[in-house]
Amino acid sequence: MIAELAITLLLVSSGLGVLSSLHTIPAPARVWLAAPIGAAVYMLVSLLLFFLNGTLRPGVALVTAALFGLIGTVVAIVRNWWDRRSLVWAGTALAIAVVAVLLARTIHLTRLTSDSLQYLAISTNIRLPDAIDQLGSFFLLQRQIGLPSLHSLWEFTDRRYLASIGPMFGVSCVGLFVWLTWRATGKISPHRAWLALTSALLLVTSNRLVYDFFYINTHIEMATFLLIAIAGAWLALLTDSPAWAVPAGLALAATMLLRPEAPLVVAIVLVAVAATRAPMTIRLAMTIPSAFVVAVWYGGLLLFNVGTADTLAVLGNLGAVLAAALLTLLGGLSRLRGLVRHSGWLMLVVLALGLAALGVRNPDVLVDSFIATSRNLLSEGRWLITWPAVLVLGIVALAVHRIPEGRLWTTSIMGFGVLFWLLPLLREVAFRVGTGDSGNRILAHFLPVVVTFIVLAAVDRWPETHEPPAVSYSAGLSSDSG
Amino acid sequence: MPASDSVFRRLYVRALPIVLAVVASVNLMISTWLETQGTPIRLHDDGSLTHLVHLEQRTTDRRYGFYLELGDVAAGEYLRGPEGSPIVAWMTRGLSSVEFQVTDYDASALPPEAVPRDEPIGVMATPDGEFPYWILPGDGPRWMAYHKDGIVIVPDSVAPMPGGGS
Repeated sequence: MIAELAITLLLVSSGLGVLSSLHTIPAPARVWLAAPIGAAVYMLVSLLLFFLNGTLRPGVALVTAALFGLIGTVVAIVRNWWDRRSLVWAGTALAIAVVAVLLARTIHLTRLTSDSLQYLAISTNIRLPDAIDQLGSFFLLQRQIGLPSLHSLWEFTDRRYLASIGPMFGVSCVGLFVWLTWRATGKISPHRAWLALTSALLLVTSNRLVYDFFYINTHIEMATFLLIAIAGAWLALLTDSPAWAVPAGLALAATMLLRPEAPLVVAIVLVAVAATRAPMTIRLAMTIPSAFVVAVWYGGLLLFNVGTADTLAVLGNLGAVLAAALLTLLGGLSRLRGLVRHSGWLMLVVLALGLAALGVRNPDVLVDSFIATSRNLLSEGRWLITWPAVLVLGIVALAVHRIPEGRLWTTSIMGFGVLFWLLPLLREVAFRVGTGDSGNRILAHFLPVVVTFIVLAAVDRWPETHEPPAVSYSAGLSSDSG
Repeated sequence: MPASDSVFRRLYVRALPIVLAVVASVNLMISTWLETQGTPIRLHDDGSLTHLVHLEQRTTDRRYGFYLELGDVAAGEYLRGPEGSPIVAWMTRGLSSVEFQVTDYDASALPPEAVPRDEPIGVMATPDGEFPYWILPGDGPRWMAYHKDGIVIVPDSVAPMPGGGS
């Protein structure tokens, strides 16, 4: 247990260190960002080491990630950004990590399926000297190396998995959600407390989301990273602070090491960012990590994969993310900004046309997926009444929201919605009925983002203008005032 | 609230906390949060994951499978299952060099009527040693239980899998 505690504390410290160099991110928010961002840094380091050496040495990756945190901490100390208050909040983050590890190790709630075993198998095989050859590109593309790299740290523990990874992400996801909704609804008192409380309750009473806290798979990690990516990008825009775009960009990039469909999700988010008024600094922070990951992971894999059936998928992922990244950067040029502003709805049209074309070609898959998803949403998927309510509220929220730069949320969410129906068509296998179906599990990725949007849509008073920076709003979300 | 607010929006803003509270309350009332599932993970004294880890994939046909210890031996040599056991080939891919294995539902989960009385079918290798095993006749997905004398493969028709898996 002590080893797992030390590993988790190192990951959290890495995240805290990196975040402490981003002074404008409030200290309470860093508490909830620390674990996922530490994990993201570790995953990116693991990726680089894996391709440089052809194998993964988890200890080296962990120490390197901790060094990044140390560098961030030194920067913050030199600039006098570490005050007593920051220390208290950092201590809170570490205390939460300790409690999460102790509970996760003591109470055996971990859930396993055959998918879990494949992830754990890779976490062992990834450390072999010829790991790439041993695993094969198909296996790597299907399962990726993000979660296996995290669980490969078991080599320092007395178990063959880390029980605390899922719970840490789950706590971070809910904590960030509560922080964000609490702060954002500050202008609509007396509903403020009720909204933050009831929306958080909605999340933690959603059976499948809580299940994912303990299920060895990538779902709670995806949900957390997506929330950080979209909320972070939005906060960067609102506060005119590129600092928020750093964790957002890291989280977005990390998703591509978790799921095979993640490059398409990343492309959607990047295009949504491209269509905003974001300055070049925010665009760079959002795109560089994703461009790095897709180039090394998919580009690197491609080198080992030429001539196989996976080449098309690899090229598609590579092309989608690089094109979206390029578009995002071009949108930062004043000459092209006006043109790129239309990319959001254009992307939705293209996705919808793609869905229609593939649906016509393979209607059975679409119909079967629709029937299965309907049954999953209503009963078989064990979402209880969460999704029926969220779908209705989400549609109303799309119609009535007044969120500044709200297109970042709406484009992303609508993009995810269309992508969800595209996935079975792309793989030519329909979603199925049951909790274990991939379509049912993927729903967890989007739930925190959609519920956050639903809450933000109820906020009445936003700053009238964002240029110059929205002082009244950013005072709440970007300062260190808690 | 600005005067230009539509009735629709005002209704949304006012009703949202109530709707969210109702949904959360209903969820609480009809959910067990985490369904019980026997003992999902049992740790060995040496700290390894478990010698029998349940593998299941709930699909339209509720497919279940299981692994036995694979170790360094080719998976097929150690993978055992009753005739027609729905172990699928892809499950073994990539696992050949890893120790994994299956469900360890408590022996108490084995109903008295399911306790085998015949001679064991054979001997099954596990990290804890070799144990005699029985396969009970019956239909449906099979699961694995421990008996004081060894391992029993139990069809759902004889006794449903504890917790139903997930």
